[in-house]
Amino acid sequence: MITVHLPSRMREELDLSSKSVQVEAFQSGSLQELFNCLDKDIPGALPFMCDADGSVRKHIKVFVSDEQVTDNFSNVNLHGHENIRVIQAMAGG
Amino acid sequence: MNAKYARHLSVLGEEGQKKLSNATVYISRVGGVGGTAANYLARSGVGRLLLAHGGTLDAEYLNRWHLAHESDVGRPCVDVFKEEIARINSSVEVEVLGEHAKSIDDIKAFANEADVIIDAAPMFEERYNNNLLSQMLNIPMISGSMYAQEGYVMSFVPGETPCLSCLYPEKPEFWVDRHVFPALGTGPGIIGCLLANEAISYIAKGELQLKGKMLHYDLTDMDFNKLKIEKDHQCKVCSA
Ligand SMILES: [Zn+2]
Repeated sequence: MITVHLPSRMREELDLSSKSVQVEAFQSGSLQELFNCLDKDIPGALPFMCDADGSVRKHIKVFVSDEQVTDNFSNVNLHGHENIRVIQAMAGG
Repeated sequence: MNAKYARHLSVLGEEGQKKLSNATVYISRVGGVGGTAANYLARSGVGRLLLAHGGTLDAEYLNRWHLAHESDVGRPCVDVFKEEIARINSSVEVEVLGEHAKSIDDIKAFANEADVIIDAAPMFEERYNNNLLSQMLNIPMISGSMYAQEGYVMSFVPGETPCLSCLYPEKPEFWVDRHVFPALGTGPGIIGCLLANEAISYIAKGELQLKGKMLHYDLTDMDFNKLKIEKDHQCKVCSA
């Protein structure tokens, strides 16, 4: 099962108690399909990451198995066992 | 070797220690992250610290600023830093710019002799200026930041690795001032230690462990990961 690690700010904004979630409805497919499933489990997850036109926000990066995603989410295929990390730009000191 | 650095010998060697004593490090903001880095760099015997930081000391800084004490509230921050670093290690030369890194011209004039940049400002505008400075003067930049229980450290080498703007070309909209981020003292402390360690490694041995990498952590479940970051070939700062 795929685990998605969510950024702190997203957890605050969407009132989530857990740092990571397992997306049970997703078996395999693209990263976009995973995030569509995630958004059903956690309404607001997709708009947090992407603009209204679907492009990823410029202060958000997604990592699949420790590698940065640079391609369109639809072109990134997942096999169902990857670790996904959504990391938001931070500047706190 | 000076007794203060006796325990460094097998880690850095005499040559490494000498390089440290001849090195200059520019630190942008000397708070929870940058102040922790400054503390450890001073203790390590770095030759010169260039500190850019404006304003006076607020009580809310005390949960995370290693260089500040209750009696310092209300004092100019740079006075406190100079005094405290002199107490830690009087061999370290400290120069201060009593302003944040808001003007690229000012920091260029102030930090042009730096061997390495430590980017620890709580405002993205200052971080983007430090990134620009790194690219303009061809100085490696070690960048560390946090939000709540989460944080990351990355090392950027001009011409070799992605830069800060490759990764995050725009700041989040909510980040309008320094009050937006929650923090325990521990998170900034961890980041500051990692920044100092990376700077010492670079100066003494020419090695950056986080070159082209992001060390990301979340203390909520003590999750630490080293992630590979990529250059943006359309980046307006390093690919122009
Ligand atoms: Zn760049």
